[in-house]
Amino acid sequence: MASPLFYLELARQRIFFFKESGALLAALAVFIFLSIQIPDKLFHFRSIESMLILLTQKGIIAVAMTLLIISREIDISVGAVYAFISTLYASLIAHYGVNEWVALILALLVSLPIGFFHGIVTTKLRVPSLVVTLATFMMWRGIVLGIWGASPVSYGEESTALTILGGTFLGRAGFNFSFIWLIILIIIGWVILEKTSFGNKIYATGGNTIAAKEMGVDTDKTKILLFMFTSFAAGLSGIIQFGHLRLVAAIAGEGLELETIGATVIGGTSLFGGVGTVIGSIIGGFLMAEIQIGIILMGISSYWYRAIVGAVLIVAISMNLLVKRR
Amino acid sequence: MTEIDTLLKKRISRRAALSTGAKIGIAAGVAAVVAGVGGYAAGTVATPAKVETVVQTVKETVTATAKPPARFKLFFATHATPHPFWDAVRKGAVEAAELLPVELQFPFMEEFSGERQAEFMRQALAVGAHGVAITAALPDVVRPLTQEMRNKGIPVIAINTDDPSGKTPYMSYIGANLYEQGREVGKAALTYGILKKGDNVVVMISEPGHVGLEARAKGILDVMKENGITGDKLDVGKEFTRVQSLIKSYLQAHPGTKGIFGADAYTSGSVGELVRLENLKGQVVAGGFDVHEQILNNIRDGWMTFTHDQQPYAQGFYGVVELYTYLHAGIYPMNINTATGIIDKSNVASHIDFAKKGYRG
Repeated sequence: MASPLFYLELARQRIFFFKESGALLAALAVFIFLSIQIPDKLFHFRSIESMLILLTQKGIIAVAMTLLIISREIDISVGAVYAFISTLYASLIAHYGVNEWVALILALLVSLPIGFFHGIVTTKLRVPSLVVTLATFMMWRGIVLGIWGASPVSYGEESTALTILGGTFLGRAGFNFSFIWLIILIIIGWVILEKTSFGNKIYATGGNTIAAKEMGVDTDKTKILLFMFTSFAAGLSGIIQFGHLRLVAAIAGEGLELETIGATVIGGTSLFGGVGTVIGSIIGGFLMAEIQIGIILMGISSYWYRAIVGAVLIVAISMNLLVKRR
Repeated sequence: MTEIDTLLKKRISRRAALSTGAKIGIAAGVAAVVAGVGGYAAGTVATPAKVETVVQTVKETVTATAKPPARFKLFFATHATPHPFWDAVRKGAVEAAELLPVELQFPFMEEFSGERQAEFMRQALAVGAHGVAITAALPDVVRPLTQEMRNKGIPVIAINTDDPSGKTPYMSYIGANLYEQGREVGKAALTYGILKKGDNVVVMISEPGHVGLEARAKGILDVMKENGITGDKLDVGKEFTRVQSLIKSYLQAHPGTKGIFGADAYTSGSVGELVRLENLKGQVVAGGFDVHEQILNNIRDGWMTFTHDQQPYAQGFYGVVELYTYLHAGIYPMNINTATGIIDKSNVASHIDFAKKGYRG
């Protein structure tokens, strides 16, 4: 008969087998802690909805960001692209009377050349993506201010399309629809990464670019497509939030780049490329959302949020490294 | 120390004393005229701006420039960020600069940052600005550079946010008394018949650590405490989705919340949207500060109860005028309280047109 230590070791190995283990354990720990401390407040419909809205906003972008970071690139312009595309969308329907679905297609089509531009400059001119997207981080938000000014663009008319994008069905008692879009994006991201040859190319590109090229992988094309997917996801997230709030301004998406990258890193994606999963990033985003909402539900001063997220980030990264080493 | 004390201490001649006294008298008069003209230009329909004609101690000698430049270079090194509120401040400054022989530089920063403001102040020194306007939202950041400017003989005034400690050596302050503004919002909130003893309120802050916003929040919460109402400050940031999710959770954790306030133009803009999304019309007092178009529309449509006006256009306009009159004529800058009072459904209509034209923010 095997000793209890054997079973303990077996359980530990099974838990740490998954790449998402670190983030999952941290998210579970926070969730259990909140469940014990404030069960009545945590398991309330409004709390869950608030968490899911925060998760959806960054989660949609985090799906694409995960793929991009696995390929060893990064995009810190996502908050600005989020503002640009959502303001463009709002302006098309509010100022020019364009049908909501047509405007959705037009706005998302505009997001693609933005990503293409990031990708081309990064891969062909060999400018680090951090630098390229730092520049466009300023540029896209500046363009929003230049074209639409600092005042918000709002749309108060009844709209089924906007309700489907980000509204709430059945009034206050209903559920926000935006979460459905996150699930769709998660499935798309997961299928691309885990079930297609393109997913293998992403891992290969980020794991060892030279070896990937020698194996015939067009690493530049892979990266350009991922930059386009990231800009697309940022734009979609912005439009979905416009559907929810019916209001957007140049300030929209501020700080989203760091939260998205934070969620991705907490979720086990390596900033050095080659490692990461979509599910891990979503768990990372959920962890951030539950801390953000949990602090308020527990009555702790919200001034502590940044400090706590910073601490969790360090713990999660350390746990991920621990898992990797074992 | 009063002006007379200063004059006696310096043992100056009767003629010189009269001359200095006359300067201060002229200064008070000019301030009143400027305030009136500026208030008209700003489209002030409600109470005109209060002009504090408190005689200040002239702490240094005004020296006439041997050969004054054709155009004075003025630099507004503030914490201004892209927002209709700051657009109105800049509009006031730009329109005043167009009326006077001055060159104006008024840069904006992407987001609230002490480092960026310090950079603006160093830039003002580098370009050889003749006069500088600052904000003292982060007094410890601006204090040493303000002192350096004053040591070099550059006049510095503060607009929008003052240093409550009084240690930053600017010459005058043009803006609202932010703690008092908070108290006025707190008192106004009690008059709508919704808030009562035992209730709770929440004040949203987008820029934690900003002394002016903290002072406003304290003003509101002090009034609530005096009336047996509890309350919290909540750091929500500026991003709408985040603001909305966080405040929704707060309301769920504190079901007795009957008052929601924004401490600044950003969060005040979100207050009405929150009431609309959560369908809280008539159930809570929704108040805030500043008067950009989004806030005024929300008041008109009943999503927001009221706001407190501090006339940002006036802060920019008088800022330029005060620096110019000092440089041109030695008129010592004076404090001007630009806050006027409450705007609610009863008087909101008269402000909306001016907001559309960019005079309100």
